[in-house]
Amino acid sequence: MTDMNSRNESAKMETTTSTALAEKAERKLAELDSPEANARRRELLERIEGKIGRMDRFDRLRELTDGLNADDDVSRLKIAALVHELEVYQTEIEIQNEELISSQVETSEVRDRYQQLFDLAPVGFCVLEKTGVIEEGNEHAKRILDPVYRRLEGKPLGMFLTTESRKTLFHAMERAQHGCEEGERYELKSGAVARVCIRWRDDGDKKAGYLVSIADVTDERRDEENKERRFQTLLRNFPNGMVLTFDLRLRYTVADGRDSTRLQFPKDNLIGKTPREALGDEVADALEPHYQAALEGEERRFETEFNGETYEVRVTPIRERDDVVVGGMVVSQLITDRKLAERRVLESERLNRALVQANLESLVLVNRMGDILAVNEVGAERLGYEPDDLVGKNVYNLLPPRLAKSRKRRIERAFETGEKDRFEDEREERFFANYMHPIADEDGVCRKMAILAVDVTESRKRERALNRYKNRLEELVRKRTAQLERNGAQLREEVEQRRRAERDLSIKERQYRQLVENIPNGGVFLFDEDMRYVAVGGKGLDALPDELEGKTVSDVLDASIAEEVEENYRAAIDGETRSFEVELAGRMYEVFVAPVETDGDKRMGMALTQDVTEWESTLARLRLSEARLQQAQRLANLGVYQFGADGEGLFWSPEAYRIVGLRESENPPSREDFLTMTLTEDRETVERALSDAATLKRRSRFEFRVKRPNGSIAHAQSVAEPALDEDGNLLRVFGAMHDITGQKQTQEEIAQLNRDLGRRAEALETANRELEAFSYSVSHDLRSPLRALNGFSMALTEDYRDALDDDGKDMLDRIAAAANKMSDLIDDLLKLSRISRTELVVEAVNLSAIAESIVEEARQKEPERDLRVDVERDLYVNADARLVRVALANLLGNALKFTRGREDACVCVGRESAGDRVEFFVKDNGAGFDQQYAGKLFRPFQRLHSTKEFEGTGIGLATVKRVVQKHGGDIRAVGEPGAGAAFYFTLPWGERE
Amino acid sequence: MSNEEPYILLVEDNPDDVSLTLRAFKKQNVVNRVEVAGDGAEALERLFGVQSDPTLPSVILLDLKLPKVDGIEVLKKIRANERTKLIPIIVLTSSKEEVDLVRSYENGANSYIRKPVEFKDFLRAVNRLGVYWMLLNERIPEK
Repeated sequence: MTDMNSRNESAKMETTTSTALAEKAERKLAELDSPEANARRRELLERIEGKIGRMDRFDRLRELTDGLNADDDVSRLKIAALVHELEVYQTEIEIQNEELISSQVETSEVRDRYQQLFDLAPVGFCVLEKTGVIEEGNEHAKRILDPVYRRLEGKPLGMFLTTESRKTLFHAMERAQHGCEEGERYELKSGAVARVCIRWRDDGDKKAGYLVSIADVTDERRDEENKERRFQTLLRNFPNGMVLTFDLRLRYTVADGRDSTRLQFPKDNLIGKTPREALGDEVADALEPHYQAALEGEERRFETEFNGETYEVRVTPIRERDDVVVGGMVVSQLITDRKLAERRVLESERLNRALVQANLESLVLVNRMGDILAVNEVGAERLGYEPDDLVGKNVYNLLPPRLAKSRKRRIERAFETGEKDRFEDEREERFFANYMHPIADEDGVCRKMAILAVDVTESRKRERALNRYKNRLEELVRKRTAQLERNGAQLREEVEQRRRAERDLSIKERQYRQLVENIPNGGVFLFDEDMRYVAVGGKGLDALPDELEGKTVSDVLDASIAEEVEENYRAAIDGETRSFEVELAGRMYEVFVAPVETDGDKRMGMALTQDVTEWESTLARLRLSEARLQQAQRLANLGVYQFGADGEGLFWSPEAYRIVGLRESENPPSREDFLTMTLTEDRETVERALSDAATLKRRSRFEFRVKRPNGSIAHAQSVAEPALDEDGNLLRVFGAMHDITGQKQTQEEIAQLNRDLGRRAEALETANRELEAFSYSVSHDLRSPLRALNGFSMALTEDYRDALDDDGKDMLDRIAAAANKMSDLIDDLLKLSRISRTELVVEAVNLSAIAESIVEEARQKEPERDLRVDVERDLYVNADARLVRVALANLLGNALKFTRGREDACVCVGRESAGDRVEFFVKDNGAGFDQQYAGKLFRPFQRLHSTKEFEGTGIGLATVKRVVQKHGGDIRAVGEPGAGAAFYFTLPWGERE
Repeated sequence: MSNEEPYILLVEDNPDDVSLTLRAFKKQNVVNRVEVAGDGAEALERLFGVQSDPTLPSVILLDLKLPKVDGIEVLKKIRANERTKLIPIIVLTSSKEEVDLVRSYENGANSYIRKPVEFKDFLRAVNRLGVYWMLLNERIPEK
């Protein structure tokens, strides 16, 4: 309302201001009324007329001004000005009125808000009449005072209080009229306790009364009672000392505590007395300054000796609610024992610290919690701190978390057992040996521990280096051993080879010996470059001493003969072939010497002797010489032949007959015969070489092969040479052939071995490619079902949420998780598969029997199906039985699968020959496949049918192919959609055992 | 078959994967029609065969390992054809082999997504795929 008054006030003022303004305007108009002003005005009007005459407002203005004389003009202007001012004033009044109304609205809103607040306040409010009757009360007040009926209006406040409290209320009301306003507690009839604050209100014109605020403090009081009880309990049980309180005059008001009996003054002697009265001047002098300080609001803590005991005393002020100090509290505690202990600890700590500092190694003193009590400089440095900064820190916090955990275990164990322990650790490439020394207190409990860390890096490094050397040495020994083992194996192999060679040699030697022993009328001598006989044989050795082997030529023969013999022997050793005659013991011997190829160090020669004493004619000697030549040729696998000028066969040596496989009794083959014998491919070469020799009359070399009548092939080298008369006409063609079949065979064997090696490399490569394809497919195809597992279990969880309880959902989660896990397992399996290999165990295997047994198994699985399977009998292969079974199981399995649902289904297993190729087959008349996709069939995981049509993983035929290839065979597939499939494969033939 | 609304062609032989993919589309509110071809040959038949759909798919999701004609072959054929060479093709496969990635991109795949075993991951992948290729990506209008 005051607000509105002031508004009216200001409105009044505005009116005054307006009057003043009107006067001011009048004055101004008088000024304007001068002739000069009028002239100027007219001029202005003219100008306005000229420039802005278009504007309506000025048109109206001109209308008003036109037709008025100067005097009228002035009065008119004056009236216009006044009217204008009045209009302005009116507008302002209107604005003010509007503001006034809005402020009234605001005020009532505020009042409403206050009323609301009044009602909703968490504190009770009442307005009392002078008589104490409640005029108005808010909701909270109702709740406190009259929780049942909630009706306060018209009832005296005292009605809700207990009789005793009512008296207090009257006093308080009286005091309130004198401006004393304090809150007090009142017991309510309802049993609750309220804190009530009363204020006197006297607005003068309004009727006087009280404003009362009420708060429910029942709980507060209960709290206080509890606190009081607790306080009393604490007091009585205060250990090892006393609790005292004193008032403002230092008189003790409370004295209690468990140990009060230890004091010479029982507590009753203290109550109501000052320290000076109760304890004497000396003690009072010590205590009273502290007591006084407490009364001034200070807290004191000090130690004092009393009756030979040490007490720790705390003095604190006791405050009332308004913070006014009303007394003090003394808490004294007997600390004599603690004091002594502390002193001891202090001493031992000083000692420890000295020890800690003196040590060259890191020394840390920790308590059971791992807090660092002391650390020396070395230790701090190692941890990267100043010693002072480390004390109080927790040692575990300074370590990396994992290390801290293990250290903590070790240290705590040492604390528990009280025994010394030791551990090692490594920090920043340095090694530390840590020695833990738990320190037991007098009661035997370890509360501290010294940890000494000794830098053992150097010795560890040495140790490691030593280990490295040791390992290297061991490695060397291992390698050396392995090498020795390899060498040993090689040696054994060599020994074995030599033994084989020796065996071979001994066979040849026997043959040779037989030959040598049977040379009639002469002997064979093998000698080395020292002219020493190595071997001797023959029937005509009567002229020579026995046991020539080991003796030299000069040992055996007279010097006169020896010289000649030696000379010829030497020539032989140097590679010459010679013959000479020698007379020994009255008989004439012809000696034929030739070099002997050896693989030893010593060069050797051979001498053939023949007693020619009886052979008188030259012809006889010639024959003899020819015979010897033949022998030599035979020994050297060398055959000679002659053709006449027209190609007719003149002479073939026995060795030449042998090479081409003819009997010696047959006529010497002609040039034409010879060409017929040679293989077609070589014929041209042979013909050209022979005609070169005949027509170009020059020596020619060639190689040729002949097919012997027994079917074997001989391989030979030959030289052909023309023999001419003095005129240069061709007489005949000489030729020599050397059997090199053995060499060629060896070469062929080597080539074969190389080819095998190549095949094996190829197989290996195929296997690798397959492995790659396999692992690729595994990562692809094995994941699809897992995805389905995961996805559908998820779908189930989502779509059937309501139908599933938590267990059910959990199970589905497990399925989803298992699928994920499997996907991981696949990766692992792949790795495994790379490692695994199969060794073939080859034996004669009855393919037919295996096929039959597979079919039998299939029949048992599907007894209702009428299976027609024809298996050809007695198909034998040389193969690994287990793998053959795998391959057949796959092929037959496929055949049975793809014929399912066919009434005339037929599967057959058999053998077919095409040219010199023999293939086994498995055929069916089932679903078949498109031949253009045949190549895909054998690749792992490739399928020509969807899983919907025929189940399967697509790895079966790849397996079959691998099995077949492992045996050196191959496989092909022939098919037609709807007309069946046939698989042809080769395996090494076997013989029925 | 021949309405004009944009649709997705899913080339996938595994019925489980088809079902899961369709479900994923549904879950991720991809409302476009999805046509399924069960193998590479069927996909080619749909696009080029006598009874082929006159409307081309907005996007093709292509598995790589398919019976009869494999995914790369399908990809090559689509890219070689004047009418279909601009259709976005997303290779959606189990394989994480580098060789598949390289071959797919070499032959003109627009995107390569590996089907994860975890369905939640798959949902995420399909969501992005649907939003990107069906909503965000601007297509060349058909003549």
